[in-house]
Amino acid sequence: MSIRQALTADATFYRQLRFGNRRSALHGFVWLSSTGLFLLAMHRTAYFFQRLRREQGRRPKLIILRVLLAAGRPFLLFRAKSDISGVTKVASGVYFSDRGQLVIGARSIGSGTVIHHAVTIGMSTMTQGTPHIGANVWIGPDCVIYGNIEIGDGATLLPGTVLSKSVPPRSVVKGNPGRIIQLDFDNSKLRSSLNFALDVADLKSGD
Amino acid sequence: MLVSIYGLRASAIYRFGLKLRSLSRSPAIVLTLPLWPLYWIAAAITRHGYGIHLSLSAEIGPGLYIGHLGGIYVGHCTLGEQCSIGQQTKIGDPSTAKANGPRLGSRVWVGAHSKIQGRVNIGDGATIGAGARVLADVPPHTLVMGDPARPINRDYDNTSLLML
Repeated sequence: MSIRQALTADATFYRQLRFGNRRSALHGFVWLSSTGLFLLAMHRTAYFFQRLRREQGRRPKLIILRVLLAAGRPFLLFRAKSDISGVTKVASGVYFSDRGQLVIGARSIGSGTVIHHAVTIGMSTMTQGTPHIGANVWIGPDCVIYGNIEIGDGATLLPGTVLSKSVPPRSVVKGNPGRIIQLDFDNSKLRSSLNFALDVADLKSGD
Repeated sequence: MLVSIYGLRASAIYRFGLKLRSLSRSPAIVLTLPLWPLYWIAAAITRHGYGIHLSLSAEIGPGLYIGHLGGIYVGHCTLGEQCSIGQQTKIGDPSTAKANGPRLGSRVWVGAHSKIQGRVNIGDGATIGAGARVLADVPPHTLVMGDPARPINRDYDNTSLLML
């Protein structure tokens, strides 16, 4: 999938989350106003550069791309206060929070995942290795996820979770240390809006 | 890897502010007056742009290392030399005086998303794991994790972490 296709999928996902897929959201406006989309665009470019270097041992011939990336990076640091590792493989149709503060060094992130602000996904010093985030995962703000673990598809991580063990698909995780409090929870309703102030009580009401 | 260039900038601005403050106490105060706005602007940019807030009310020893950016607040506390601070950490509280704030020793590694508030003493070489909330004293060379922070390993050597 080319970068343009992936970014179109990202923009569509974002528009759905933020505007409920109303046609009135102008394409340009979405791209200018969203820090998360800008972050994704920069990341996909950086990932493309890394892939070129790994597979063909060269940098992109198009100088303009390199200039854009070099100029964009400090601007991005300022705007999004985020740092997404160049080797993270992000599937198309992922939401990164507009409020930024993401430090992500995951192995890969699946499609349909929603990641809110101030999330750290990284390496553990005790077990070298980074997490693999499945598809359709909902990660609330202020989470820390680290270690050589797998977050199953459709999992939900409540805000403030500190997690260093793998969790099965469709589970709900909460707390520090992260504990599974519910299994088989369908988070599609969660992933249809940008609301992130959640706690256990909201889960019970099926929201 | 562009590791912690912003951390170095934040530290430099902090040291500049400290220097200005110490100069203000000497006859050279006239020199400092035009420089204060420079400090204020630089500190505001660091705070809002990088999210690193090193308050002048904190006493930070030399060799501070800030790994990632975003959500860092260090104020009303004392840090020893060669400490390492991760992103989203809050050390000290704007509402408490420095005497009632945390006191960290040297070579303390503060993991990401930690909160160290209140009158706690953290010994030299201690390691605060990611996401920990420290409410009690931490002896030297101890690894604590969790909310509230519990000691996991009483003899944890964090020199390999500090070299990352």
